[in-house]
Amino acid sequence: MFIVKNKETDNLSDSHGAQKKTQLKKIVLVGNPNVGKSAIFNCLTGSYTVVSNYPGTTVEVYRGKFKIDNQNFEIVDTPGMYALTSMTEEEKVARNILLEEKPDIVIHVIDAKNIERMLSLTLQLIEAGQSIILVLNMIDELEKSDIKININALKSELKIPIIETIGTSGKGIKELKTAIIDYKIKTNNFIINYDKLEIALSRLKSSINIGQNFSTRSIGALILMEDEDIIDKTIDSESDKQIINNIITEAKSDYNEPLNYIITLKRMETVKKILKYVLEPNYSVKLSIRNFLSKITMHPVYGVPILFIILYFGLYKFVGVFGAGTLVDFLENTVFDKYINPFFIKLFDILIPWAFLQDLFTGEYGIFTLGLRYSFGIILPIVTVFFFVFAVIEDSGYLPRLAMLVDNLFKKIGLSGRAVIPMVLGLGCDTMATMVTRTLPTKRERIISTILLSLAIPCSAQLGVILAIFEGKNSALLVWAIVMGLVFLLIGYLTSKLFPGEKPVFYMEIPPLRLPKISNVIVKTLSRINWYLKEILPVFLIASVLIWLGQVSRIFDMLLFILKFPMKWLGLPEEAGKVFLFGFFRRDYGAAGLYDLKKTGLIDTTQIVVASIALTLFLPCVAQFLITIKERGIKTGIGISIFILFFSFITAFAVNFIIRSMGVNL
Amino acid sequence: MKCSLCGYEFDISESSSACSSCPMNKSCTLLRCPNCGYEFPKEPEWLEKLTKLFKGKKNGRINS
Repeated sequence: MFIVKNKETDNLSDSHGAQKKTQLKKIVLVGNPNVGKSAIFNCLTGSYTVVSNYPGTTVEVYRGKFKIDNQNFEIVDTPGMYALTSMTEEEKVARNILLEEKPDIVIHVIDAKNIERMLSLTLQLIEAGQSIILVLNMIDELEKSDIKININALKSELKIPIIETIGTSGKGIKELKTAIIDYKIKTNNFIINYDKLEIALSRLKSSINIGQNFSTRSIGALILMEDEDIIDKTIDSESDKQIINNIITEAKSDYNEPLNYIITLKRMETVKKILKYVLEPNYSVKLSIRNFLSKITMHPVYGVPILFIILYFGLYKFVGVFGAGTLVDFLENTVFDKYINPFFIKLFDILIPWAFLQDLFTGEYGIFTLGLRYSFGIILPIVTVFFFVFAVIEDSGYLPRLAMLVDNLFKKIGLSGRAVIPMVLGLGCDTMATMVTRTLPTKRERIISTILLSLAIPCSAQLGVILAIFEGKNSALLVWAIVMGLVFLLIGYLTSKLFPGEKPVFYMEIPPLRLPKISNVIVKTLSRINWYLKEILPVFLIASVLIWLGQVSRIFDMLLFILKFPMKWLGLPEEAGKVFLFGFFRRDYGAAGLYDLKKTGLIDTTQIVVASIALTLFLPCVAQFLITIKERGIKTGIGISIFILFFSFITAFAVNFIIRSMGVNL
Repeated sequence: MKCSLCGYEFDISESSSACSSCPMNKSCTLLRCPNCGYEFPKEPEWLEKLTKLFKGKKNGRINS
């Protein structure tokens, strides 16, 4: 027997009333993206489907009809949604369908093996007073995993029908149809306890319009999360809006974190409590270990030593000592110096009789002797090991935890944990990272992160070469690291004062912490190496040609002559000028130049520190410079570059002065 | 396609819409997560074929 609830009554009482409806019964499919909603939709409807854009959007919505025992149903397949708090256009459409089309049954489809991440939406739908059938899809994949779900325990916790399916094969569809036809509306007493927010929720009840398809409790929670769309839809009068603002402000004063975060956290805690009874014991133990590890990686105190351990072993030991030390040493000094370079020098001696043209290929800055050597002998081994470490970190799920860990620190410099995305990407390539800054929500954050990327974030190749340059000189490396850290914090802090604005808010769904899969790590590493080689090879080769042209036309010598003066002020030899010229083509190209310079023995340890600081802080490469202008506008872009030019030399000068006058022996 | 940072699952067409305003999107080989903006390189075709071949062998057959 199919009974349809009366929304008005339900809304007032937050319970599931019962009244029969005569029109076509509507079923709405909801769930995260890629959980198999469409497969379930196709199993129910067969071939009858109408696709149309949701009014006023470009989001496609699939509608179909089907029959069970001579009873007709309309079914809507909604775009993927993570929560009722709508962030993307797709989520807005999915929520609007629930709000406006008032479905008789909502089928929430989840990927069974990811129940921990997806159950929160089920709780929100129950809270919203929807008549739900929970579909645990892809149970074949669940069976292959180490997770065991006790369906009866889950049913008794949630008090809703639960069906197991495999959408792709149609398994469980018969049971789903039976559940639809037998659906009985019952009062569901399940509630999420929001602690202190309960007072605000009960105060909100009187100001919320009845007539919504969501319960007042659910609407109240969305209002506390400051969902503008919901506030506009549910609050009519200005005086009510004022009352609501006061309630929100009072509720906020009880917490240091945004209410959105608090509510999301409470829901996650509730999910964890439920899963304690629902997941088989062995998995619960595994889950609690995983949760413990997950928590300490984000903990403001314990998370820091973990970060340092990762940096020490991942970056210093593996990228610096092994990649930039052992591998580069072998490729440079054995493969290139003994075999490849002599081979090409001999070959071009035979092929080209003119010395000036030979220089283009095998001269000091030749395509083979410099461009290819830098690309394959120095940069490639470093980025390969860096991308490997990065893939391990990425696949383990540590990156979003890093974002949460640094969120508080970043807030002090006007950024939020969200800025970790461009900062981490900057370690791969600062140009790409500068483009990603556009995803930051405020102009202020975009400007601060662009400056910090141009100034204090070395790309992986540059970082690797710098670690190689400092090999065996730990105190020198420490000075470099301290100066970079201080510059990052100081410039961030000063810039945030220069561009005042509200404290940024940051939320992020945290995927589970897991052991990295070696196949994923290999695929990610190879994909990045493939991408990187495509990016750098042409630039390195073009740089060799341009330097050769500069040499032939004497422009290169003229620029080196000009750079002689700042080099002198920094206490560096004249030859260091070319390193900075290289650096403007690409940061890693400049770092490779510094590596070469160190090999000649022309600079001592203090000079290495000073040159490394100046080079890391120095102007971004040509590509990053152009992208900065494109992203931030010509005035801001040039302003940032002029500031960086002077700041890099002044900082390096100050470090040189302090070290020399204190007589510190590095 | 699954974002390595936030875990959002999306397909390539969603990724290209996330960077449609970028002037480099025609020649760019990176994929951008429409949820958090994180960028990562697309698996090259040769690697995709190699992975399929490897998986095929592992399952006792060779893909042609």
